[in-house]
Amino acid sequence: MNKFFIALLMFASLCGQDETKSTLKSLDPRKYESWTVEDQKYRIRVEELINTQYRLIHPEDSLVSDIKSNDKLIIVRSLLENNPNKQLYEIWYGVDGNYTIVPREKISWIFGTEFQKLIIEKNYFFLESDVVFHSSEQGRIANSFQNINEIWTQRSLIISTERILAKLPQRPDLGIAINLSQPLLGYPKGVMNTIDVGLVLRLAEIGIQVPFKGYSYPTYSIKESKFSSVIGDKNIYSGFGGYGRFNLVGLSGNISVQSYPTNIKDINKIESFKDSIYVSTLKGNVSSKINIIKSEFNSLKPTISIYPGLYFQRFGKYSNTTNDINGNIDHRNINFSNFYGRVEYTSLIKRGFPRIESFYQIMVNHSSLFSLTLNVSENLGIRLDHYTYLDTELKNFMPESVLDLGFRLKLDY
Amino acid sequence: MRKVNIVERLLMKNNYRLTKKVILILFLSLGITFTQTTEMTGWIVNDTELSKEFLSAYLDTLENYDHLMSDQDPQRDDNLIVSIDINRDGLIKLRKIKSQIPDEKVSNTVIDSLISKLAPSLIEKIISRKYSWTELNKDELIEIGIRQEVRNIFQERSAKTTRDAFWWTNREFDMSSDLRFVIRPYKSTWGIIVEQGLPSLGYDILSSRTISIGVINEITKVGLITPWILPYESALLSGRPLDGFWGFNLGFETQYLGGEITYQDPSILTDGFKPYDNNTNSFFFIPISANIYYSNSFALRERSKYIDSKNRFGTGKKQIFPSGNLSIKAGLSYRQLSHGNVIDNKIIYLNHTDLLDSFRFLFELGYITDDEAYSINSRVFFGSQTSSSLTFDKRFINSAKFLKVGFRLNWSNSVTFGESSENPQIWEPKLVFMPTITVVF
Repeated sequence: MNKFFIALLMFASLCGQDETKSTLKSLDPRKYESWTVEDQKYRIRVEELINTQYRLIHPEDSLVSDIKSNDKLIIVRSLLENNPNKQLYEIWYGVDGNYTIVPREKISWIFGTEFQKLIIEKNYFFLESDVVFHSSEQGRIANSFQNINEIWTQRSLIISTERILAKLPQRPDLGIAINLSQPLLGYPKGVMNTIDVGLVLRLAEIGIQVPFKGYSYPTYSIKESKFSSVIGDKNIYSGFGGYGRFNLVGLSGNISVQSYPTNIKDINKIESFKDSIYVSTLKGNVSSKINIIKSEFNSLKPTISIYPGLYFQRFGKYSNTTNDINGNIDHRNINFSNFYGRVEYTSLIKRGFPRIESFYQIMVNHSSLFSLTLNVSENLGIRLDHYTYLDTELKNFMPESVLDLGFRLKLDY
Repeated sequence: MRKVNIVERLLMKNNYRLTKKVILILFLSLGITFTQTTEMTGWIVNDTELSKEFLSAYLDTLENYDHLMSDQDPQRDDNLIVSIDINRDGLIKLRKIKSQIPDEKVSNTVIDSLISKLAPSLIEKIISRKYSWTELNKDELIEIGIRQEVRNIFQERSAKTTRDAFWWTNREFDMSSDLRFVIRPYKSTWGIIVEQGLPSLGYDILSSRTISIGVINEITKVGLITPWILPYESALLSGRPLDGFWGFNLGFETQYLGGEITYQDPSILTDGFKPYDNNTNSFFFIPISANIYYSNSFALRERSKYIDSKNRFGTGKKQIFPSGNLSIKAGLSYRQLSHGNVIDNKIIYLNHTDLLDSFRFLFELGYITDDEAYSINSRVFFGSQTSSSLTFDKRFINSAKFLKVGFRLNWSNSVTFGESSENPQIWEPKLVFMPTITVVF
């Protein structure tokens, strides 16, 4: 596995040679600052002023196209201009390196002076963006590329074996997600007998965990050399709970909690179990992103980031019998908490595809995961995950080593 | 002869031709109504050369019509105010042009019939808006005859201030003696938030022995919940607070939708548990909760009345309601209440509220005045247990804008666990009142 990862890194460094200059002229980061508008009300106002006012008044201006709901909206402010009415230097909008630029001259035609001041004030939800400083199209794509572990997506719909995410057509800042696996918490799809149903925002996801046994996705046990779709079925108690993911101030985390049985009657509701069952009451991790290699404004490189952090997990181990006359059951807590680490790699964004996304995750004394996604086109990716469980107790209900194959479709509507 | 109205005629038998006609007319009128849906907009022209060019041409034309001249004729140095209709089919039509004396809110009259006599290229130049311009505020829009609800950037700015005030802070530093504390570095996208109690569940300030410490931004907050007991708790409490354990909270709020989940686990660091009742070592707490709600904010205009001024000539104006922004939230809240004991560092659960009893409806109403002199927020949770809270802050000293004085009220009725058992347990939080001082920078 390590050899493969080193080979991958070498391949990545070799790929860092080729770049094509863009027709868009990049800006000097010493003279300008830029950010994306994430506040939906402000976005709608900009869309109205461009799409339903300027475009109607000036249909002959083909250089200013309509803003689409999935477009990134980037504001560029001139740091050299002292007049607040002229500080809004350019507006960029688009996706994947293809941007429409509204120059300074047209900004004063499209936007009133008060709105320009409002945009420059930055007193709304915004995120820093370096897109405008990259000299090549590949650099711009690499800078704004959202990898496989990101909460949010620029696309309208993602259908994958791990996750289904659909943005609301009327509210493109909100999405509905159904998570079928929890790779960042160390578990492949179908194992926990639950699914997560939640709301997705730009930097967070929040929702409920629902018992669900219908998704019995076959995974391959390397030690036993066989496919199985019933891992965990006989040992894991699935209950209602909640989950959340966040990415705030460079901190990212995943949390999942679940209700637990208090009475033997609760356990008897499960169709099958052995002498004891495991209840995953709490799972979570917190990590911080550090970029090791990333594209500079004038030099393209693949992206490698590390996420050092901590993880914590708690399983309750319950016996399926009780001596209590009221049926109350006793349990033993099994706690895991230790260092968490993840290395993420995204291949150099060259002309077109394929594009490789990969990560290696280690949860000390718990598990490791190597994941490789090959994006064969803009819309389709094939994913292979390899989980290895390190803890003896975990091996009671998880195979020692599991291969998990899946796909991901990204679509727009 | 009996008068027959149109409905009766339509209902008459064999009157199909008339029915068809009416339906056709209705259909056509609806069609025309929809196709002619227009958007109105208006602006102030910042290009002084263009304004002068237009006003000079207008005044030259006006000179030919002595009978149309008046004291309200525009001057060549006036600002131009333009309003247009944008048809959904893309047709743009000049609606009105007015002039305004610079730096004064006095409008002069520009006669529509004379505008049509000016060069069409000049009018096209004005409509094309290929120059710098400034938006009109609500009063100015009304003055040019745009009374419909116009999405206005001035409203958006104040709505944002309100949302900030109730979600995190609209300042950089906001600290209250109720231990709600927000630090938001200048122009940064994040802040640090500390909140005592579980306000998002209706158990504010001292009603819950917890404190949440976390990070927050425009739409998301995440925090660590820890047990927390104030030394002066007994002086302010008449009932029993919720016990606090280690856990977390994760929340979000956008312009229209918000939600939060919390989790507490008594088995984490159990040996540090300090029971409210040392005799029984019992606890009442919320292991898991979730909220989902609609949220929005609206600008409210000042209400005032004219009163007789006894010592002066004329009338005076008395403000009866200050202008500000109203924030509303309404939704569904789930919180499970659990009761148990800690014996020899072992957690024993005795009871918890069932699914139906755990759900409550939440309503929240907040108001902050434009000058931020007053802010009030009320929150009610209706269900098998009702909880309500009220916060009020007022700036009493105008020279000390950073200082606000107020109070916090929180009340919940009792919950009985194990009603049918021999030894039912009652949790009764009662009323909590706390005067507060808030410092904002």
